[in-house]
Amino acid sequence: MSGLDARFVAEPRITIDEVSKWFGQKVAVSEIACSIGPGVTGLLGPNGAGKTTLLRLITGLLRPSEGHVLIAGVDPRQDPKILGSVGFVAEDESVYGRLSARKFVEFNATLAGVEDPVVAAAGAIDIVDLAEAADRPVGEFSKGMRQRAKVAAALVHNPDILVLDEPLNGADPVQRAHLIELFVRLGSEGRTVLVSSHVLHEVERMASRIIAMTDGRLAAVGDVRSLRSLMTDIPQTIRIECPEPRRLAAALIESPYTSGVEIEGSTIHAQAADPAGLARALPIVARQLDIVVTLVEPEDESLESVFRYLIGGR
Amino acid sequence: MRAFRAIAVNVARRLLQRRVAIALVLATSAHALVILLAPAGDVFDAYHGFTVLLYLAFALPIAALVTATAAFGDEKRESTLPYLVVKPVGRLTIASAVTFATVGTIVLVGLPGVIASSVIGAIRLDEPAIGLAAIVALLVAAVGYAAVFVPLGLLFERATLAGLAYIFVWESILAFAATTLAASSIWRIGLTAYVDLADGSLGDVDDALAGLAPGLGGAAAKVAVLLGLSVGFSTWILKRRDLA
Amino acid sequence: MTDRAIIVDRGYRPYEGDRLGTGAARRAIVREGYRRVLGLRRKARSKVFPWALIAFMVLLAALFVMIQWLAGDLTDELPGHGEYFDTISALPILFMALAAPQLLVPDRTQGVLSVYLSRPLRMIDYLGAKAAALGSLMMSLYLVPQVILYLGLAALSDDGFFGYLGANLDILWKVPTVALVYLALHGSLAFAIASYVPRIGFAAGTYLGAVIIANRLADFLSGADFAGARWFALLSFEQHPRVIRDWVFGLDGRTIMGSAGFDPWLSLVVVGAVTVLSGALIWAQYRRLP
Repeated sequence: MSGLDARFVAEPRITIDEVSKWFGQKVAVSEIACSIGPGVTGLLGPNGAGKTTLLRLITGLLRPSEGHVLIAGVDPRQDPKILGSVGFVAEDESVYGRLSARKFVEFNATLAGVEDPVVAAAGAIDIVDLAEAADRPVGEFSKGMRQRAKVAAALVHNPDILVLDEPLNGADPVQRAHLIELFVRLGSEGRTVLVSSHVLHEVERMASRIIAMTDGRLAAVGDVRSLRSLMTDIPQTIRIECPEPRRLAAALIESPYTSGVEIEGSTIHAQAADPAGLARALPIVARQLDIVVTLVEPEDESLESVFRYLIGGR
Repeated sequence: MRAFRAIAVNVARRLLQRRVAIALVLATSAHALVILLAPAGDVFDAYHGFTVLLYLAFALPIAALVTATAAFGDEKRESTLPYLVVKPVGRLTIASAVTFATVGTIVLVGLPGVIASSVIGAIRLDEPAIGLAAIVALLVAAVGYAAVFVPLGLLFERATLAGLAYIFVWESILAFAATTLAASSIWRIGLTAYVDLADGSLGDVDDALAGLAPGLGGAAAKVAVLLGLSVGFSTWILKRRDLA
Repeated sequence: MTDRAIIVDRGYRPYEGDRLGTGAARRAIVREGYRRVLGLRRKARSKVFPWALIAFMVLLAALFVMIQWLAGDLTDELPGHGEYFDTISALPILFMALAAPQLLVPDRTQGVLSVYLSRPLRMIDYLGAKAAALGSLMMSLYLVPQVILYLGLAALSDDGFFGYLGANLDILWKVPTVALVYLALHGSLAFAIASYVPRIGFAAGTYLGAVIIANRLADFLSGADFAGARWFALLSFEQHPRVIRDWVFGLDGRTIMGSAGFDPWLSLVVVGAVTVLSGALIWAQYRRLP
């Protein structure tokens, strides 16, 4: 494995070494090789891409058909003790419905080897803002509350590594914002947080690094901006605002760095064949025409555009 | 040890959910009614006959089947197995705790019927210790059935159906036909312990042994071996097979 | 720009074909019931048990015919049409123990009942279709081996094929009647239990356990020496169809009801009562489901 390859990080906490998983004739995950380190990493992909399978392989619930998964250099299926540093939130809504939230989290704390499960559970429940409902059976909770109980159960033993499969499912906007803030904070504390989600703008808020999967294979790894810059076959769209958009647009279209322009009110949407070249040329052209440019920003450096590009043909 | 206890308590609580537990207790107590209502001259035969041919042969195996296949089966069905296995807990600890809890639950479910019939039998027959044989047989059968059915619940989705085939086809029909097969019948293993401890000539009960020699020691040894193999097998499944 | 709404044609095309109505919906439920119980369009292992039972029941009848053909006149030694119900008695009961929960339980536990009822179906249509699926399957299971036996014995009869048929025309109403009685009692019981118990295996075990335990209790208690003891014979659910079978075929079998001194018509009443009560319990359960 090359340390220079963007799939791999300098201080890996999770290492996925040429892992494949098949169920009979169906290949769910194929030759995935990458590593995940401290910070928040987003795992993206359309339905059926293999994200949940990959997360289950990481947590030892599934055995790889080929390859290895290592957590801090240890295979979790060979040595379950390493799972003491892992907190896992599964995608489905499964909980022990008859237990109260408090008892549910305490149970998880006990199994995780926490010294004082009662105190730890109370703390975890406070973190997810479930204290008021803590003594009600989890089976009576709404989807969002159940999700928070699961997150509390995953956090109760203060794990180094968090593996979260759609952790924001069912949460209302306030709860989502709260949980996103929590995951970002945990990532900034140096923990390894791996989050799978469909909600791109939320992943964008949380994750500094993205792993994109499609059809069971790795599609891309890296931060959003770098990934976008690699998409050289698709021009980037630059938004430019100025008081005389038509004059400026006419001048820009003559430059070799612009492949197309669209005018909307006082805004120019410029298709930049060479964004760096356009960035150099724009101030020169604007000064020559004596036009004041009030805004310049990339329009499609969003995760959504990256995601659409990566899975667009499928 | 703490993890063992926590898992065992969680499993037992889940298996003893009110409606199911009440139904199973009622089913395993039906024979006590018979002993209560038996004519004076038939109480001895009724006690032993129904304890063996109704309680040990059908009611307890069905109650044990429903309980034991649910031990792991419900965890798999309800996708709560990750809460046990994505933890720094050894697979042997998980398998042992679940099996231990299952044995305990089967005993708890089967005990009210045995106590009721023992009290009634003791009063009507003036034999205070008459219930001992049934209690020991219950313990032996509980361990045996847990050993057979717990891994079944971990392996198969339709474990209860496979267990029903074991009870109604293997134990009731095939194992009756040959002594070698009878030795593989859990309820007959329990019966060997029962006959060893019960006083008096037991008539039809002795016939149900299908040629097996009575003996508490042999019965205990057999189920102990079965238990060890069962826990080992469950541990192996947890280590080697996909759990989601 | 003004605030106006426009409807954009996004290519949606409504269904323009025939709408087949409630009857077709009911038939679809029946067909789906067959598939579930027989494991059709499902993995191979879900076919093993039902088809093994079916094969056993059918082959047994064929075997008796073959024995009759090979070994001469054994008509008195081999089971007749009436006795055949006893020969195979455990097998249809086992089949029903599994079929009834398979038809009812998954729809409840997987939350698809509301999908059924969002179609032009009422709950009574749904339950009727499920009962029709079980009923038609079980009647086939009872009747097909009997037809093999009937035609086989007719073909081997010294009176000739049509001679045998003419002399045994009563079989044509007796066998279906008795089969219907077996179906009514066991089918309604199995369905009632499956309506309340949330797991297939548990429901099957409950039904089998209830039948066996009730039978044994009835056998012992009905012979006890206290006032009214003989009325416990009514609990021998498994035996009531047998009593009616003996009555219809003129057989002289030993049954708990007979030993308790009850006339066969009482078994008919019990079968009817159990069927009606089971139906009421099923309706009570399903009426309150969302």
